[in-house]
Amino acid sequence: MSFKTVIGRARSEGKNWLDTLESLAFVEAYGIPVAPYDSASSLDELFKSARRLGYPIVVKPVIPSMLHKTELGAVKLNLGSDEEAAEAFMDLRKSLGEKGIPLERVLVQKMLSPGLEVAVGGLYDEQFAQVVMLGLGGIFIDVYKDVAFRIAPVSRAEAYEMMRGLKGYPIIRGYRGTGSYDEEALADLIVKVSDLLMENPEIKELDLNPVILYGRGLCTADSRILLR
Amino acid sequence: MMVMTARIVSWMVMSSDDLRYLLEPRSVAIVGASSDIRKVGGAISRNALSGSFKGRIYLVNPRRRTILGRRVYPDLTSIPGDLDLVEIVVPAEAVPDVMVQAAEKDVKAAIIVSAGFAEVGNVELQDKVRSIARSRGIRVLGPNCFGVINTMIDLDLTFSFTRALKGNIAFISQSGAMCCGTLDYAYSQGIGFSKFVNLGNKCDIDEADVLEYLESDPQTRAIALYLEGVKDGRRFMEAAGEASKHKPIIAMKAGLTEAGARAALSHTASLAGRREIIEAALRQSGVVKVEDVEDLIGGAVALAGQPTPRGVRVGIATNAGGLGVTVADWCQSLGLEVPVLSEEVRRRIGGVLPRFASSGNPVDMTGDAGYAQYKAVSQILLECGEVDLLIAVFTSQGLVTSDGPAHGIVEAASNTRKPVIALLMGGRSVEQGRRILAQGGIPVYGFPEKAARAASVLVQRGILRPQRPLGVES
Repeated sequence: MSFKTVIGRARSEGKNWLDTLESLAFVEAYGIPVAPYDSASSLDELFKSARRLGYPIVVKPVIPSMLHKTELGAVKLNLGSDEEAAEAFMDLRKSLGEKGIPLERVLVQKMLSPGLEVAVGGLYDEQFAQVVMLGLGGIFIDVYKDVAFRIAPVSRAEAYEMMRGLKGYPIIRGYRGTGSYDEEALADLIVKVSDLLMENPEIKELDLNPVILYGRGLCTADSRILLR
Repeated sequence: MMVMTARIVSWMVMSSDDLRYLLEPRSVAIVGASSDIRKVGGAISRNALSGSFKGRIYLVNPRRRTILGRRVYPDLTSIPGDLDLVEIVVPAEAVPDVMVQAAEKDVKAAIIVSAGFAEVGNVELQDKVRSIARSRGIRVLGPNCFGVINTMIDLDLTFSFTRALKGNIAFISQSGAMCCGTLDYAYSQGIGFSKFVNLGNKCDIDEADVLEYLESDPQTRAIALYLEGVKDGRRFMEAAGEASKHKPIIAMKAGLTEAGARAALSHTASLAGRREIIEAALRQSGVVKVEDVEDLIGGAVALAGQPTPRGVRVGIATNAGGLGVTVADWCQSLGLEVPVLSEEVRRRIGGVLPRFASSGNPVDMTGDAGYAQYKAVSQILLECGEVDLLIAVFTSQGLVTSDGPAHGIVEAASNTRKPVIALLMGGRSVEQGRRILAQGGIPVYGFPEKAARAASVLVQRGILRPQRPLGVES
């Protein structure tokens, strides 16, 4: 399915957002690495997906991406068995139900091994159109607002400049004997996000957060897309 | 196809060099001229007529026969000769009629000083004026603007109290009040301008148009921009990115914080962007960004008067240790380096400073340093290959008057391709030195922070638009 179709369908349903699955599929199609995923609408399907992906897994509800899953307490991490997966599924259905959100499907993802959390995103600005953002994840982006912006399109050289402009850049580069992270993969990701934004000016906001950065390579764990 | 052709043609007519009609007119008519210099139309007439402008100036006012001893025309169409530019100072509702007359006279550009348009919510009237202008090929500055100055032809079409000195900095501002304040401040500092342009509501001409014009203006060596809202960010980036390849651009953006942004909205009816996005856009366009108006002017003076450094290493020569250290602190906090000097360089400095007080950088020449010490130490620092930029520091300590050191700095600077700036701290006792330095083309600042910020502006320029290695032509 082409992206224009995905966006067109969302619009025809009166949505100005893509759901978690649509968002992940969208960015994956741009060659952006995402955590292996599947979707399930029943316990049976969930077990099947889990076996295909291999435990441990992550289970998240497929809900409007404008809602913050973490804030809903709706992200079930590091589930190691069918029992844990079933318990998480039932728990999600119950807790979302209490908030009046029906749970029709869940996203099942392979639990990623730990690395450095970063966030890459984009937005459509009234004055400058597409803008790309890079930040260090978690506390760095939430508390310290350690982020860099560039007006798209962003070249590879500018992508490196963005990284080096972060206060937390020494963490990426490695300091006092800690390992270094894959700057090339991150530069690649920034350029791909820039391309994606330039080709899809319908996108109002894009979040790839968290992206787990490793010594070699990276993997996107979650994504949200809002349309203009 | 017809539509396409018409669009291309109108674009060609609208763009490129027709800002010359605005900034280098051969003839100007002031509609709404007045003999009362307390009125805008009167102040503009006075300013326009008091220069040595060689072109023709026509005053228009249906209720007057003469103003300031000159003949007055009842309307534009009764003016005998051709008209390049019309400046309109009549009530807002009367502006469309004047624009229609201007079109009949085949006028090429209009400055609409009159207020009462989009800035007070009267978007409709502004759109009407714009559509007359567009359909008749007239470029419009404003409405709600302060006018323009071109010192090269000694034409002042503003209502400023203060006349602009001749210089090589072009100043562009959306805000008119900022223009008045800047002109007055600059005059008191002996700082001159090449072109001075207030954009007002920007119904047609905006920053990008003026940047395109200034890019090839031979009189302009640096461009200072006071920005509020940028409507078409992409077009601004394109124009600024191109112009900054040819000459340095420095900008200050108002309305970066939320409170500021609200003020910008109510003030000029335009959108103000957020800090991070504006900063990214300026950096990507090769524009040096500063945070306040004094740094905007101070930075522009440095950029217009001094070459671009090839690195971030600052040498400091001072007659007062504490002042030198303060400059060094500021430099370092702005990301510049104040490197330790090599044995060889220290030895050479020791050769000219017999009682060499301190061997490091800043070089403390002590309180009795005069012409010879300033010249020699500056020269050593500029030639040694260990610094990219020199800040020469002087404060009166009762032993030496400021003229000698100033001459020494000017002479050392004349033999180098590296930038030199000066910090002369004090008041009356350093006035003479300031004058000598300014005449010698050396930017002078009054406080350590300001000098360091100017140095940082030069370094930023060097980072954004690196100079080609010596001997390599483009």
